[in-house]
Amino acid sequence: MVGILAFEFEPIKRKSLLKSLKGITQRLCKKNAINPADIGLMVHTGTYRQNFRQEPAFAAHLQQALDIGCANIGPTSKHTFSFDVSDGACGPHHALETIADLFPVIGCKYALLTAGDCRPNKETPWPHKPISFAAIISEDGPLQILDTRFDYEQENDFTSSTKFNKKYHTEAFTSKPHITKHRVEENCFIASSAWLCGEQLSRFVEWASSQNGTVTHRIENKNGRVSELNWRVKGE
Amino acid sequence: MKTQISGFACYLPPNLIKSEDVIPFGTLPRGIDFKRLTKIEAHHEVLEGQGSLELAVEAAQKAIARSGVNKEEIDLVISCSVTKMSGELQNLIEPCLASHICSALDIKAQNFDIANACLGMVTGILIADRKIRSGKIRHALIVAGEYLTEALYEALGKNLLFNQKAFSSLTIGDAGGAYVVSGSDEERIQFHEPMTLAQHSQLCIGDAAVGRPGPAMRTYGKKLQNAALENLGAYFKRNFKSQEDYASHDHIISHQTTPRAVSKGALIAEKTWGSGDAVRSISHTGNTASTSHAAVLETLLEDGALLSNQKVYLMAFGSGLSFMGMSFHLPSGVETW
Repeated sequence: MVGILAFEFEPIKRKSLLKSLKGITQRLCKKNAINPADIGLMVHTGTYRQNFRQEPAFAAHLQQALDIGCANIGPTSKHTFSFDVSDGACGPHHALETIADLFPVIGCKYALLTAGDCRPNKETPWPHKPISFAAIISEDGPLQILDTRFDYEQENDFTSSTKFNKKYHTEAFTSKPHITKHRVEENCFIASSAWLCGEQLSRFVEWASSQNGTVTHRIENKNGRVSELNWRVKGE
Repeated sequence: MKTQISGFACYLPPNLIKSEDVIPFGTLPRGIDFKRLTKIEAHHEVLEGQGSLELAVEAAQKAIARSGVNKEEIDLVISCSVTKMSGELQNLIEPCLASHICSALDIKAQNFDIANACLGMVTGILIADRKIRSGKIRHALIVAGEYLTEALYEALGKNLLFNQKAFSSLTIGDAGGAYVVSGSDEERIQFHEPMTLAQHSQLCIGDAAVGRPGPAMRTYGKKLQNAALENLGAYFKRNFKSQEDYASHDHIISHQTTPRAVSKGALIAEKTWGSGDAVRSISHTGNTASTSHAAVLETLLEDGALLSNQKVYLMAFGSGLSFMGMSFHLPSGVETW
């Protein structure tokens, strides 16, 4: 069983997403005496990238910025594997579950989960105030990932896609989004559907860190997709 | 629980475009002949109204039918497409493409997208493999629809003498690819180390075109190819236990950038393990990104070259620069598909 060992987040403000995530990951490693070279798996989740970039994975750019495993292959060289996972605001749950699934086969000491978004270009309306989030995942992390549940029964036809505008592509919607307001019901943290991935994780993890026992993070996406991730919080 | 590939398929839209018709001699600067340089004879392009979703759905339907798996037993769908482009050149942001694929196929399963460039499908199969082994799911559909050729036309609109990074965009083609991953009593899939040599992450960038609808791709083609080839021999040495291990494969299928690049890879295989004879290459699809291995498998199937239980090695590369090898046994009865 794997869990979050430590985490760090910050509002991105006017920084680039890459610079922000590089900075908080370096701080995170320093604070927790983690050797970045021990990170064998990096997974990023987010919805918006610079100019709606499709390749390579954002995680690969971050791996280069952090200079982790950036060496040619030799008989004993140490490497890292990086890729992105996405599903709108539900992306963090798939990303966490994917890390938990791959952790044993990658055979590393730590995995790095990052989340964050950036304004794709100046023509795209940007009502968001994105947060960058980074977490170190390890076998003995105190915020343990238990199981996930996904429910698509209430899925509606809300779709967001790019549409060519004047010079750049901007975002176009098919209908109004499904709105869920943030609230806490007993041990269940229900997230706002308006939060982007970084905010989803930072708000939940900050709340969960002060809890004990089993807690649930529930995300209802803008198009009605629901995901729930159950966690066990190991107290002091 | 162990795993197997129970079905695979590639869908190539029937719109076959010859290289000389799109990129005739004189298109490239300095008298370079595209066809002679790359050995790409042709590529396929979407039909009107088709986009990434339609390409993915066509391939998925074929792969599911071949696997004999009931749709109701598919518990996971991962879309690994680099492109999520509709026929109207709108790139999907949210929800994930996998959700649209599930709706189109009437599959009720956990679904999400991964992005790992041309290594996407092998990454998806790795994730499915872990979930099946741990008993979380029964079967998984790993699927991609690559509607790429608008990037080819974007590049043709540029002066290629001054935009040499657009040159690699001329090598691409459209395709859909799908694999069904299932449980098995015996080990039928084996993965070699996944790794990202991120010092090369800036060498190939695909994003939205500026000044026109659709995608654009900018690549330092030679640098990227050299980085892959320089590391290929070391990757093979690290991951194959012996010459016999390497030679036990009936077909070695590399990511298809160009047939010429694949033949350079075959020479490295030969230098490392003594023979490059099993390396397969096709010249009628161009580079179809994450679906390129499926395109070769489909071509070999049509040529009657695939037999039950033969061993296949997929050597996957993706911009990033990512590496992963995957060895698997072909399903029993593949000859009858």
